[in-house]
Amino acid sequence: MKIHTIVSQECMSVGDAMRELDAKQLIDTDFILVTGDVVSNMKLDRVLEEHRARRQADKSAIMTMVLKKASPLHRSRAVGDGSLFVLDQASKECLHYQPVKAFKSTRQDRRLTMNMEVFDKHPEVQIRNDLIDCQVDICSVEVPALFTENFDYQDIRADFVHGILTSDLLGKTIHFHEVSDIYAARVRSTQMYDAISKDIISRWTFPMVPDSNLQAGDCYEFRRGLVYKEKSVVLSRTSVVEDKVVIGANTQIAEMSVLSNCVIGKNCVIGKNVKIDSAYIWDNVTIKDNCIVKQCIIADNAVLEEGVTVSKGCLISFNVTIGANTTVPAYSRLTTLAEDADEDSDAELVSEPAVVGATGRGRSFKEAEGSDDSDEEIDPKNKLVNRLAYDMTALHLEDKAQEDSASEFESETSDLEEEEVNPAEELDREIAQTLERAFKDGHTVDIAALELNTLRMASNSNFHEMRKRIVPSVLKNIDVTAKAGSGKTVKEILVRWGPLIGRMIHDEADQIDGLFILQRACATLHNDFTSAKAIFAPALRYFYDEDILEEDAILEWYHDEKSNQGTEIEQKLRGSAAPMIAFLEQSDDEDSDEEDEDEDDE
Amino acid sequence: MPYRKRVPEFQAVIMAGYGNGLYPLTEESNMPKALLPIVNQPMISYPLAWLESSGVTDVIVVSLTSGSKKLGHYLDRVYEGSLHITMEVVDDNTGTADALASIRDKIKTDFIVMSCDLLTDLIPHQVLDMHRSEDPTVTALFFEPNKGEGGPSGSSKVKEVTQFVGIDASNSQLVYLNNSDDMDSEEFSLRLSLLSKHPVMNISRLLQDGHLYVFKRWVIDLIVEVSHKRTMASIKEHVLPLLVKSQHQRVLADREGVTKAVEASMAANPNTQKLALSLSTTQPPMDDEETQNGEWKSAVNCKAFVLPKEVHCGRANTIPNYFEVNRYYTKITDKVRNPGATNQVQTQVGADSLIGDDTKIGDRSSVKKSTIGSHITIGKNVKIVNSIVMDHAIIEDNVKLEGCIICSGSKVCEKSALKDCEVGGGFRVEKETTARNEQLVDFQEQ
Repeated sequence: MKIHTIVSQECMSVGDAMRELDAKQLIDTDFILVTGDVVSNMKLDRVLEEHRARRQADKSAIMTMVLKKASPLHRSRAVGDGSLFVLDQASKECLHYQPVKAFKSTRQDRRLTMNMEVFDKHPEVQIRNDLIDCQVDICSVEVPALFTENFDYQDIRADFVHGILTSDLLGKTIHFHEVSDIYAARVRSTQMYDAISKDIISRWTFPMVPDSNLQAGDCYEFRRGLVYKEKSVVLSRTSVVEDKVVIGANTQIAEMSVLSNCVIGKNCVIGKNVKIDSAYIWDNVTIKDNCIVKQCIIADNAVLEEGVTVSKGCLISFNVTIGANTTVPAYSRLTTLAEDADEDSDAELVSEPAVVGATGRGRSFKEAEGSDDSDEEIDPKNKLVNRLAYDMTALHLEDKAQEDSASEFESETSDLEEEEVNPAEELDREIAQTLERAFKDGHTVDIAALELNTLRMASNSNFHEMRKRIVPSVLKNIDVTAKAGSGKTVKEILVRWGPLIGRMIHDEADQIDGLFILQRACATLHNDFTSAKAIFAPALRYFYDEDILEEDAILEWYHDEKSNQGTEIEQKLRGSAAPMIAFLEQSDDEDSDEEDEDEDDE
Repeated sequence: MPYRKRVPEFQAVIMAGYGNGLYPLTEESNMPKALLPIVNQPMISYPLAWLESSGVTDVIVVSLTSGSKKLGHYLDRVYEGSLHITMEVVDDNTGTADALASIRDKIKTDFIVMSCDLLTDLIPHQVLDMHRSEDPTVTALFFEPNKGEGGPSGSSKVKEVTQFVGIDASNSQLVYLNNSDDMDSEEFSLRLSLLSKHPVMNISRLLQDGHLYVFKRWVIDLIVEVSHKRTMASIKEHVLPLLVKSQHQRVLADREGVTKAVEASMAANPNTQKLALSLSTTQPPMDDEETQNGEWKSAVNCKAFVLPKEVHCGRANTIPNYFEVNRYYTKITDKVRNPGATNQVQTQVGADSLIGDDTKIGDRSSVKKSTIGSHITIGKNVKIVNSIVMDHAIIEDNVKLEGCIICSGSKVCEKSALKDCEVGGGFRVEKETTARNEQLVDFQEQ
């Protein structure tokens, strides 16, 4: 096999790489696309055959994805990013793809959504949440070109597959090949590293197991209890090697040490009375006496002095030294790289004795902020779940605030509620928001009225409903005690927003209805009669002067029995209108008198 | 030992509705839906025979007031099977759930609810065994309708509402049910939590509800509850969706009284399953890990029995379907196809047609792909293709019928040519009428 390596500085994603390939015209046949982190023992001939046959029949079938069946909670399925596939079993076509996050913070995350049109062509579909995406794809020649055409595609799944499947224009199809009896998984996180290492030790990946000695110079032998040991390992007489252990060449293990479920690299020196469980220790590591190492990864040339305890989930990088009798807290990530190393390589490493001990060397690693310039905000919790030795309880301890979405099962209740949002409440909220915007940003009455009318039509509502909501909102802005000029007095507010209420009132029935609403709104806004009256009376006067409310309507309202029922304040408010009513009735009489007189004159 | 009456395993309820989709065949002047002939045999005789072969002994037929007399007469006098049939009459405009609620006291065991228009070749024990072995709350039958051979579509086109049916592929649990009417027409959306419980889910738009349900006894209490809350409560529209949702939504299950109904039934009949298993040599099934985590597990479990494609199933609920079912059963019937063949001169009766007893066919007439009832007089030179003619009809000379349903007692006078028409009961088609895609019915004051 010939391997060509292509180095490209600008490649930040699969998409970039594919565009690079297209630009260099390196590919002229169908090809197999595999990411570098795939561990698999599958034979590709059947997939290739299927792909070829499909291509012969249908040129638009551009890709065949290999998917492996597993249970949804299988350990080689990454917790943080599962994938949902909607498939047509008859035609082996993939119809929809959706990534799944562990923590579903938005409603969108909690649902599978796909286009209804899918059902027009495929009335029977299968939704799968139990597939491991091996990211082994058989691609046709067009694939790199498609990446070039759609220059914003980055990820092969979230962008490319999703884009192709949802595009009406391209008319391409993506197919799948389901496998169940082989091993395939990707090392995408430290958690997956752990899971896959265990699978390899347990020989799921046969023939790719340590005793196949695929690498030059390896000479592992396989022993009972899934123990793999190089010939040159020095095990002291009292050391105990339990199940599932791999030990590399020239490693020495001293008296009384206990090893279980772990991988130890070449040339390591393990001291006396050391306990190692579920840890991955790389080459040239020194672990001195009485250390306890659990569920962690220790990289090349690291040194643990006497009596060090490394708690679960730690990553200890190259060359870190941890001083004697230190306890490294859970989920620490230690490095010897100086901060801002890329800017200035001479920067001195400042060790943090708090984490590495007094004589230690190293500091805890913090991810550079703002390095993640993707458009989407990634929930930090979704990153955390991918860590080594992650469990839910640990997350709880660290971050109490996230209880809201801790369990995906809890979401059902809230989801149920969401589904049954009362349309009236919905309208309430929308109107309140629209008005708030209008008040705050100082929209003109025209614009506000337009927006509200749109809302009314959208929610299939009527003017009565609109008045019922708008009047109180407007009156709420009035501050009875405010001084003139503050923009908050009864008069100023009414002059500014009164016309908006006017827009919601059209005929006499509307006016009467509006009066009832005004009366009720004033009464509910203020508990004491004086302040209620301080709004009601000027409002009535204003609306009358502006011809929004006509005298017939006001009289009608006043004489309507309903206006004199209701709460005490409401009744009093009606009473307070009495002088105005008297004035109106009088002027009415005068009018008629005048008419009479006119008649007399003739 | 005191004498104990044998308690039947299942009771069966047959819903004999009005048949809105079959207008005008179900007009008062013709006959109720349950008695419409399929291969010259009343429709209801098919589900009755099916139940009989399943070993059910007690059947309650629920009929609407209109048509109850004719149906009652049939069940009392004409029906010859061995079933013990009780007829219950409910008001017109009663939903199926309301109707069941009204006969609550008569339901003593797990019960089968089926519609009188279901005709299937399915061997009954296949679906009942699913209910027996898996012990679900409800087992519902779903089938994929056969593609019709085209032909008459009926002039009253009732658009079938397509349904989205989600079934867990591993244990055929019915987990999702939605009418396309209630859904967003642009987007299909599903909760992910549902998918984590049921990782392999088949969603189909082709499957149709067969209106055959096997319920647990306690569901009748729930049905009563539902029928109190709604008017025109129906099994298909309200009860089944509620049960399906109650499998996953605790709040809903509590609110709608599902949980209460289950608990009441648990208290009344303590589960003997555990006791039986402890005495048995069989290993008890392992509890799901999920239940051990203290997670809520619904007491409701709905199963879907999907009919294998090669088994025929049809519902004669619309005119096209009625045609289809008739055609299918006419093809496979083992009755004598043309009992009066000896008296006919130059008549052609196709091998896919059936002629009833005492029907006279005049010279030079031909009958193809049609079902002709009994006591019918067919004149000379008549052509009947793709049609159904019910008992006591009179077809005069030189008439052409294609894709028609002629109800009983009606008369088609000479030289008429009808295509894709339904002629109501007792209607007289005047001579030389030419009609296409019409419903010819006596006008009736409502």
